[in-house]
Amino acid sequence: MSEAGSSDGYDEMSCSQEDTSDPEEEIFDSEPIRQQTQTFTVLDASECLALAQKEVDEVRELLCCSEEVASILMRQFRWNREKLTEEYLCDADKVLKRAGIHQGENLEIVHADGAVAVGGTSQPRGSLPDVQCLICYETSADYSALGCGHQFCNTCYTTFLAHKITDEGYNCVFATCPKPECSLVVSERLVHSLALPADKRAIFDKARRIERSYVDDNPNLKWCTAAGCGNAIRAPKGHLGVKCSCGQRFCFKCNDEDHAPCSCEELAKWMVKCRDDSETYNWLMSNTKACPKCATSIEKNGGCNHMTCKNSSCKFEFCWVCLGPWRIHRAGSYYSCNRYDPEKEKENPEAKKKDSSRAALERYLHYYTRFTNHHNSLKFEVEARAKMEEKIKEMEKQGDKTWIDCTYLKDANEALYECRYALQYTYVYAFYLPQGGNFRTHFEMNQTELEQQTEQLSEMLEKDVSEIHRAEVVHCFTMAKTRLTNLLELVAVRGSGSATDTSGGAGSSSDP
Amino acid sequence: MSASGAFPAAAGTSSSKAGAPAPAASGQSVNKRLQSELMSLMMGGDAGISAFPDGDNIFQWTGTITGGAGTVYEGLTFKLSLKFPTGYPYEAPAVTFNPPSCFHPNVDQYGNICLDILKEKWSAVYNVRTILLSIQSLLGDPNLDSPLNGHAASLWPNQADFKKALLKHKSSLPSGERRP
Ligand SMILES: [Zn+2]
Ligand SMILES: [Zn+2]
Ligand SMILES: [Zn+2]
Ligand SMILES: [Zn+2]
Ligand SMILES: [Zn+2]
Ligand SMILES: [Zn+2]
Ligand SMILES: [Zn+2]
Ligand SMILES: [Zn+2]
Ligand SMILES: [Zn+2]
Ligand SMILES: [Zn+2]
Ligand SMILES: [Zn+2]
Ligand SMILES: [Zn+2]
Repeated sequence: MSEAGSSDGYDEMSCSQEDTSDPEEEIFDSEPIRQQTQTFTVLDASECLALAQKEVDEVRELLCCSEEVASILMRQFRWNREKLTEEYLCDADKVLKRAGIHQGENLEIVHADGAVAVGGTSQPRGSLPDVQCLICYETSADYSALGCGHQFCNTCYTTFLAHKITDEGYNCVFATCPKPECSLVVSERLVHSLALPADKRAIFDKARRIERSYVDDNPNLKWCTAAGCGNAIRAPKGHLGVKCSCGQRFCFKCNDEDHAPCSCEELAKWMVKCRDDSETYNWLMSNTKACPKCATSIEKNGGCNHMTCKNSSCKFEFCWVCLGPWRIHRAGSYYSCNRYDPEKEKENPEAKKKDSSRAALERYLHYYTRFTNHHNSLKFEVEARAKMEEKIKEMEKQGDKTWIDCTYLKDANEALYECRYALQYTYVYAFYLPQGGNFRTHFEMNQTELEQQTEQLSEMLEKDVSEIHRAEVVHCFTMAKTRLTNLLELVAVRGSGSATDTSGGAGSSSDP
Repeated sequence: MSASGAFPAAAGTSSSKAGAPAPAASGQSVNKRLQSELMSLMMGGDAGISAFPDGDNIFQWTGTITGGAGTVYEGLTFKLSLKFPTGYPYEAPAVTFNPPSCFHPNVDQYGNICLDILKEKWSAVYNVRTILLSIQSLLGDPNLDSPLNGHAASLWPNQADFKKALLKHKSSLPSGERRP
């Protein structure tokens, strides 16, 4: 399959795209949903450690050095084993010196268990002669040194390390002796002998872990961005959307949230734009709007955009996005609240008066409202999933369905989430898409189809348990997934440059 | 990179550990170190360099350097501003020519200096004295590989032309270098 669209991970469709056959019949002839061959894999922390350990072991044998030296060298050479062995065989001393590994007489001074070890020999604490610290200029007998013997008082050494850890994060593993020109790398023994705050020491320890640097330095590996997850993802460099086994989705390229079908650059531009304009459009983020007919306050408590006024004497049905009557959205069987039509705007007598900057703002507003709407709906979709679990239990209690039979509802919710998730970014993509052209027409057609199917699915899943029909739901979410795949593939084809009807790249439209 | 979030807050440290830092006193220790530097600078009597705090603010100094003998800068004096962060000396001070009157390959039009020891090669062992001596030596021995002032770098090989441009540049600045 094509790579650039990063539709990987989405299930391949077995369902026909024609939406005419009877769903009750179709469920029996549809093939089981297959998992597509993924171009990314999830590795847990122990798998990462095993990979890193294997590299270290090979270097240790190859260079006949200790495991610690092999780890330091690999970290220093950013896990480029070939480069390391080549340079090491050429001039081992030079490589060791540059990596900050001590050679020659051991002049280390470290404190441990009430004693002080000088060059590995333990002495009682306080037995050292006074020296002047090169950092604070105070004279004291309480100091430490690495193997090089460059002494600094313990207070200064501790503050020095605390700054390195805070200011440089995981790069603190490369911290060297404070003495200028001394390349000796700070040892774990020294760090552990000093009274660093526990959180700082923990960062240093994490920084030293070989799998941490192995993953951080490998362009084909990335840590899952979910807090506390600890898994890593392996994917080709430049790959976009990935999904961890913990459920976290993120962009492999920019580490931001998964933003298919739009590119990292478009997302970054969009985020800046949204920040700049956010004040004006804060109201759009709210979950409450007034009914366009009777002004009753309507709270959106479901992901679906089809709203019905709760005022029993009104019951006006409208679209949450544009506040227009719902029936016009159904005209021609399309849910069509996705297209920004400048011609239609012109017909509006109010719009004629507005200047071009206002028009640019409105164009942005059009895409922004739709982006935000899907974005906010996602939150409800998550809540809906929890409700769904309850529903499944309810259905189980009814006795005629087993848990296995009901798992299709979980699949349906997952599909709904995936579709809505991608839909928000289709509006960012469309915003930066040049006006006019065949591609835009194709894209918007696919977007409409996906949006319509997604709303239909959302509505279906909002129903009472007794009204949910398995075949209908399966048909609906299978269709939604097909449409998502179609849309992502369309974008991928354009991205790979094989589309002939694209004039100008994404983002070449004038930025309002 | 933010790695701290995932870890528990600092717990009490074992008594066998050495050198418990006193965070509350860190401002005090910076102050102490700067006072001590000031003393040794006044006692030291290095040729062509001097520095003194601006008024009561110990974190803001004005330094003066005179071009070394045998260089195009010989006899010319330049003023520098030194701003010390609270993390000093673990973090480098911000040092700029102020006024930006120094025409030099490694100094930009705002007086910013491209010198490794003020950036990635900074060490807590360096101090005001070593900074001023390094800048003084940079004047006569510029790094022409990555100049901030390309014009100055291109003139450098012809020292006579360079001197002309240097003097012209210095006199064009209204504040000049006259001593108070
Ligand atoms: Zn079907
Ligand atoms: Zn000290
Ligand atoms: Zn710092
Ligand atoms: Zn050293
Ligand atoms: Zn540890
Ligand atoms: Zn994860
Ligand atoms: Zn990205
Ligand atoms: Zn109403
Ligand atoms: Zn609805
Ligand atoms: Zn609508
Ligand atoms: Zn609409
Ligand atoms: Zn530079």
